[in-house]
Amino acid sequence: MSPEPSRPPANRNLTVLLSLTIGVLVGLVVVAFILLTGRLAARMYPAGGSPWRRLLIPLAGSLGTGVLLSRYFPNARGSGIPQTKFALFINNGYISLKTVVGKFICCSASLASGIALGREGPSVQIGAGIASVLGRRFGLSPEQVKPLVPVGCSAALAAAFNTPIAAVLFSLEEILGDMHAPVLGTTVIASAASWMVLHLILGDQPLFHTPAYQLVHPAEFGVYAILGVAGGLASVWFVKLLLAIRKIFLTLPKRTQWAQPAVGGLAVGVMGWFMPQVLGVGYDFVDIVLGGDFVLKTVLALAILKLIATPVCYGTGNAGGIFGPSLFIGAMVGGAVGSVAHTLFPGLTAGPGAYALVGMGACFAGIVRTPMTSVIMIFEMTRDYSIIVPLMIANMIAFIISQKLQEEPIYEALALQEGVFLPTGESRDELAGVRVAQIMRTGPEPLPPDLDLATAIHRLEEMGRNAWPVGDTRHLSGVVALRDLHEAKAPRSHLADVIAGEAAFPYVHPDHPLSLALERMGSAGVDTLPVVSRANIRQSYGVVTLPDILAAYGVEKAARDGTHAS
Amino acid sequence: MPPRIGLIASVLASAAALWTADLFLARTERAEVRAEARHAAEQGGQLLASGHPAEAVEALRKAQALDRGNTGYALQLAEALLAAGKLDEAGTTLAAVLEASPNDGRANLLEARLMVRRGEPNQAEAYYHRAIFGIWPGNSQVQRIRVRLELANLLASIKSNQELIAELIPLEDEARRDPAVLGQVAHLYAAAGAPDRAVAAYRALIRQDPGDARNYAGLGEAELALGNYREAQSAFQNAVRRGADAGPRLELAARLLNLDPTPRSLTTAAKFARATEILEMARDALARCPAAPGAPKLLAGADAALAAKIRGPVTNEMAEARLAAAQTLWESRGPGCPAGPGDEALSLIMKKLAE
Repeated sequence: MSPEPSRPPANRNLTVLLSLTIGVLVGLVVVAFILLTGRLAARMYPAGGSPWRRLLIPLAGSLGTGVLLSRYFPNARGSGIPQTKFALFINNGYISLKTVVGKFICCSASLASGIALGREGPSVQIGAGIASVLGRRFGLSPEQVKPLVPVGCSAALAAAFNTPIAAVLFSLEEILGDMHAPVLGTTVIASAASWMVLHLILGDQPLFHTPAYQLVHPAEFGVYAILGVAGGLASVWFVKLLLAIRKIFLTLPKRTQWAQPAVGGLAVGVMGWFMPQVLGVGYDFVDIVLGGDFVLKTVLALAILKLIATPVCYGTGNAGGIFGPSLFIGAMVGGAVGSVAHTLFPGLTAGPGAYALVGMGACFAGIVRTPMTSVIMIFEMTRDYSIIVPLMIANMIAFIISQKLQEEPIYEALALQEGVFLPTGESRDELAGVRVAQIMRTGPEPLPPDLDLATAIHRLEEMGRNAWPVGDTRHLSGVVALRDLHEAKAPRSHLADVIAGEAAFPYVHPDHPLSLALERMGSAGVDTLPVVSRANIRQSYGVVTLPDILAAYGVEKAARDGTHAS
Repeated sequence: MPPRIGLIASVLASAAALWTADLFLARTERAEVRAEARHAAEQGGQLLASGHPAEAVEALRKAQALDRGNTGYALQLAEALLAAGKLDEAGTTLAAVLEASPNDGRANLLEARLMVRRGEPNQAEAYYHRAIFGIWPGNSQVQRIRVRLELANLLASIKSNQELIAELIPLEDEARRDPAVLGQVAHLYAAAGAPDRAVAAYRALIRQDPGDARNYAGLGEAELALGNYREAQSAFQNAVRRGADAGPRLELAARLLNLDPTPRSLTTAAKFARATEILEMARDALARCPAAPGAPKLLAGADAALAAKIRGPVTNEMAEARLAAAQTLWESRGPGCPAGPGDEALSLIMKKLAE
């Protein structure tokens, strides 16, 4: 949410036309991205090629993209989903053309070289970027560009996964966090346009080809529930490992950034030396597993390897997403569970292919935390309705386990590691109603840290406040309370002595509702809170005070009216 | 906001450029993927032909995954899966093809073979018929004959003689100019218990190719089954003359000619003598089956009849009585009786007498 004044929304006809244009353009770009990546990969790994390629190409690919990412396209690193959300919630929907081009080039090279990441997340950022660039070129204001970002996302996902309905759902469920968002119509238009482009160029082929599945016995629901548990646990492992590795690599010196992806490239190369299926997105092997023809040992080994390879590749800063790997891992986990179940109870259970399919949904729901999108996506990918109920059971179980054992969703956690506070699902609900941005004061400066305590007490009493931010607008040190100043004893003589270094302090963001500001004031015992950037909580936009909040709720006026009445 | 012509033009130009690039990439991909699929399919076909169905399945699975629109690869895969004994997967693969093209001749043929492997010959028969009347690429007549012949062999193996003859009649008509098929048709006629049709088919074949010893041998067998021992002897003589190893059959035909009690030209004495020999042979055959119900009593009766002194000239009735006794003894043999040296001749005589 930007503190700057907003312009009226764009003309409805223009918005519809732009959405259509975005859909077509994004569809064309994403199809090019998929085809280019595929053709490059085919040339990197020709049939009957030497095993040395599997070791050297990922290493070379990650080194090359590492240089490009660190020198030219720093915003093209990673999946693309958190970056898209940064753009939407922090940068007024701004994604540069350079980032779009960088994402396209780096991800094509990275994925073609066998890095164990996916192509869908990057597609989403590319789509959102095209929407953002196009909106700006058409002269739209930041407020008008922002709603185009989810439009680009849905167009990209529709083409990348060949799932137009799930693409719309994903944009609303994950990117916006609001299933009733007013952009529903435009996301549908863009998704449909993009999907049509995909079909015109590549024909009518689902992403995965599955035989017809059926529920053999009601007892199978129990096995699907077990699969949900397995998928949930695998998801938690995946997310925790990825975050842990990312955290380690974020602490390394910046000058090593260009070489960091090579660690992931080397790791996946070594794994690929022994099991080539671990390289790249791996959808070909998923297709085989869905067909039910595999060896239990192989799928188990691949599930474990991919559960390590993808977090390492992502954590070391390679370009690529986690959608594809989560589907791959899910298929392997599901295939393994299904294989064991079918061996033990052949008369009661379907073939392992059905379980692989449900496993894909379960891991997607557990890792990405979008259960609705997951169900619809698997349905659209396979066009098999008979699997919906088991899919819903396994998805919900995996989702709940993941939520319990890994509180922070992956994209929010990744953003947090970058120092960005993205609104979570819960916090989005709180955004309803009047926002802090509408009543905040942008004028008052924080108290300087070198101010002596007596003067500070005097200034606070003069303003009639019991607390005030300390520092400067670009770097807040904290919030000082009047009671702390009164209790401070010698040798403390300046505010800097009272404010403890980089300690946490109460704050609100501009898009927070007033109710949350009141809650935070109450728990901290202060009547003033700094309003800070989501990208950097030390950067101050202004302050919000208790009387202003009360005034916004009409309390002050009522009190005054009451006084007059009495 | 006023539309900017330059911007719109650049968007349209970008879209056109992307469209062209996408089409180029898609065409390249399609060509490369199809070439790879073709290579895998060829490899699979060779593996299947060389008796490595499991390896063929892998190669063909790859071919099918690469080019899903190619029904030929799916059918090749189904064939390999059948050969590898993976019946469920073969069924799934075929179901997908049949759903899309229910009249595909090859798909129906493979489904019929699948049903045979699953022990469901009635279902198989239905799919064979769909295959016969289905759509085939190229020369469909040749394919239809091949399928009908396969169905005929199935019917012969399950002794479904009426249905077999019903298939052989149109097949004989369709394959009139194909000696190889006509030879099989003639053989199957004989197996179906229609030796007269077999004889006609073999004679037609001999007219087409008088030098083929196999046709004479087949004709000899059919004539034997019909009880035409002289014609059979003649046919076997022709077969031997053309290099066939039909000596034993020729001897059998000669033996039958000397044993046959039915020719009208025989004198009563000669008929009686042959009837006596037949009764002795039947007694010996039953003697090899002492466990047969009523065997001792029947054998005692036969011995007594054979030992009884003949007073006065033999009559036709006496010969008929001995033949009737021989038939009783022959029919009393239970299953599993050890075969004797003259059993085949006796069997053919008994069959002729029964008719």
